[in-house]
Amino acid sequence: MSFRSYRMGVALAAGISAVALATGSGSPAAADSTITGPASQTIQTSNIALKNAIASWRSRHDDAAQSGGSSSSSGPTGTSTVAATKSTGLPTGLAYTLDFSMAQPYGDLGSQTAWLPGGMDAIIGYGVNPNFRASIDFYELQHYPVGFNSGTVPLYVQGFAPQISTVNLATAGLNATTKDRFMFVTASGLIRAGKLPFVISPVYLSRWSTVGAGGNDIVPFMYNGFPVYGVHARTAQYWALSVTLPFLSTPKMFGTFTLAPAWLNHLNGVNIENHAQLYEILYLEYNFDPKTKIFIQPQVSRDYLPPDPYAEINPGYFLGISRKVYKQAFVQLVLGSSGPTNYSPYGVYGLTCQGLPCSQNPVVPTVGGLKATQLQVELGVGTPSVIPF
Amino acid sequence: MRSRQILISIAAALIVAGCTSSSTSQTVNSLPIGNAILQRIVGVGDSLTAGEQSGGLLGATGVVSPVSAYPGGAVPPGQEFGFWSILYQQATGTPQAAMFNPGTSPLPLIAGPGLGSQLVLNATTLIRATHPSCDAFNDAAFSRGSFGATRMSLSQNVLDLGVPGITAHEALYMTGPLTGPPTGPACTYPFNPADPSTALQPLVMSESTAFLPVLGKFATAVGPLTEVNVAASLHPTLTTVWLGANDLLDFTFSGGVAPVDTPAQMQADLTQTIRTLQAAGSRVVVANLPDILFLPQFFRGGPTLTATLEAAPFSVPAPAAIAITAYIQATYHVGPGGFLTETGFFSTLTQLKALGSVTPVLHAPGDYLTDAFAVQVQGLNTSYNGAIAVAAQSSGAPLVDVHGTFEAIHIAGGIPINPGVCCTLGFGGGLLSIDGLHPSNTGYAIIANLFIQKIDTVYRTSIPPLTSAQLLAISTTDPYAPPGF
Repeated sequence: MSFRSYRMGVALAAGISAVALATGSGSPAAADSTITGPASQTIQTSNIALKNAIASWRSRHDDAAQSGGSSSSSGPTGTSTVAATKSTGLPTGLAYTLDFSMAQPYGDLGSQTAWLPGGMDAIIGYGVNPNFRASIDFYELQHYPVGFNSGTVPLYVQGFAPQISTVNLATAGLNATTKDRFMFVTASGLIRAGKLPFVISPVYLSRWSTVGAGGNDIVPFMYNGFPVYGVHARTAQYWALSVTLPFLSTPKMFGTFTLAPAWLNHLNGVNIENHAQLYEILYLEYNFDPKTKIFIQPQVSRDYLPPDPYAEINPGYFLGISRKVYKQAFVQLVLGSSGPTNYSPYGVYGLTCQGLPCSQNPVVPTVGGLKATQLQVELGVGTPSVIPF
Repeated sequence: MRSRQILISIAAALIVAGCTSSSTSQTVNSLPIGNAILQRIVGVGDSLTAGEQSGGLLGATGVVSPVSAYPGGAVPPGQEFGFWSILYQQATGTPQAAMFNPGTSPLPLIAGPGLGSQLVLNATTLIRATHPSCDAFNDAAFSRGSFGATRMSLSQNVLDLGVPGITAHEALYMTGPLTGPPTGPACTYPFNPADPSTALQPLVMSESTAFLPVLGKFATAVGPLTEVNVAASLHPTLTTVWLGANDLLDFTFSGGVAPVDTPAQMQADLTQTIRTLQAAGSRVVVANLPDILFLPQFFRGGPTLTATLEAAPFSVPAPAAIAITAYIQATYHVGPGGFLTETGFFSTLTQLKALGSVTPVLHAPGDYLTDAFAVQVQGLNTSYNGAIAVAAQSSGAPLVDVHGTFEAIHIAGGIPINPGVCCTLGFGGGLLSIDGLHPSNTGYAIIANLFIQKIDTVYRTSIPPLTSAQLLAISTTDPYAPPGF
């Protein structure tokens, strides 16, 4: 029982539940899983640069072949790309994106089936020249995990191996709504190796959260049979270095593959290792017309959160459609899903009393890997981005 | 610009390459043997390691009680006579007097009147508790702010970490008292129907009482504060591990409903305990469990119960003894395979002597074990010993066969420590204290010799075992062995 090696993608949720149980104040619970990674954000900028670089090379190739005949290639749908004949790499000058979003969670969410409001993306970037660009990105989003409040879970007493009873998480009134915030600082460089352009992007990511009504993400959680207190369970900083390579470029289709080693800035909570983790992201889009595209982004991301002794391995995918509706305004729908493969079971799957009687003492949750699926709707101006949930 | 990007890439790659961790683990085979391992001996276990006797943990001398029939109303201390204390004395040459001295003793010496509710001989009722288990002294043990009042001194360098009541799993994961002091009448906990967990409070009271007095001093230095973590933090060279008895007793006294380790869990817990200590640099020796139903806490039913009632010191007339035995078998299904607990047995005697009743009212769980349930207890006892053996073998720790020795004594009908006088496993037979579960001074001495012999044999040490003369001397002054008992 209690000496399992526990982790929680979102111990926070659980933590709040513990507080809620301890105080007798019930409120809704939530937790999340995320495929957010230091690398995923860089794809958009990299893709723009690679499209432009490929278009530029084609333009020069066509010019040579056709002896000066003019050619113009329309920019990728839904991006701020300019004609390849004018831009040969990363977008130059000032660029921005501002959008607001809401999401519909899917899966076994118990009583938590409402739309999740409160998502926001704010991105500002500046391209010094076609080969170098810097940006600062801020994302804010909410999550509900699968199965976090719909199950009856075992109840333990600290130190007792078998369970002593069961608790229904929904009726326990756990409040674990999680709002994650991410800030990226990215520098992107376009490099050409012969005919092959690729983008290298050093990335710094800082993330922080609030869980439930607590105003922060300090929530207790069980690790290896022991309660852990005072840890910011969803706060971490990372470094990453992403490399994006194109593998498909036609007038209608475009695809890239990104590899990005990433590592923690420093150990947090119960982290016991900090090996570089390799993000692998495949991106493929199809442009119906200059304003409309669909895309799919399967990926394997890695994450170290303070309740994780080891990196969490999260295969997932994004499937989306975006359309420019007016000049720089856009609307985008993204279906995203992911769940860790190295932690199970999912969700809050046990509560442990730190003393008897359980109703009058802190109860600390044990949480396995969490997964989530949701449909996100974004409305904004600038360049729509595939953001994590 | 491009060269700058490449430099960043190279730097990043170097950082990534440097992000490898190495771990060093000390293998069992690399640990030393011989007398070098006697430099720092630590005890991990429960009340058997702590030196509990007669339901109480006491280290102070000169404690008296008006209910005690011992000379001068004395209440005998037990910690200094436990097996770990004797092992330590023999291995380090420490004189026994030093074990009583808070300035030199490695025992967490408990002040008077002692933790728990110590039983003593009484002139009128045969046995009586010196104080309740919910007095101010015991209640102080539940708080980090007040547990120091239960110790003779908090400045001791404690090496005996035995926590009375602790289970194998709790030794790894219990980080504080699991309940507060009892608030109900007669040292009971009020039951809350809305919170079934309250029913567990009596079951976890003893380890909750003893946890801080033994381990509380380490709270600022060790985290999480568990018995095993504290032991590892002491960097022992040799550790005794004797756990599992409370898992068995919790199961037994709860009628099988207490949440205790399965045998597989017991094996996993002990393996983890042993390997944690080995990783801290310690040689480890592990003991198994005696068959608890052989102990005088349990009075076998059927013809054996009749004979026990008729014999001294109970001396119940034969017709009454026969009637009681028959009634208990018919009513409570305690036949030749079942048992009355010590509580049930003395309740039966009290009802006979006070009311003339040969139809005693008994309560389950606690007062008796039916024939069928006794089979389960024996089965779990055997399974636990199997798990302990596998855990010891798989982790390279030698096994002290307490079970085998007690079984041999049981089969032989006793052991001639003091021929013609002492000792047997029966009630008052000299090997167990009044509570029928914890050894007497003599019993602990025999167990200490088992540990010493195993350590000497496997680890090539030269700890002198207690001689026959020393055992006789211990027995003749033992407050729980005849002729003194």
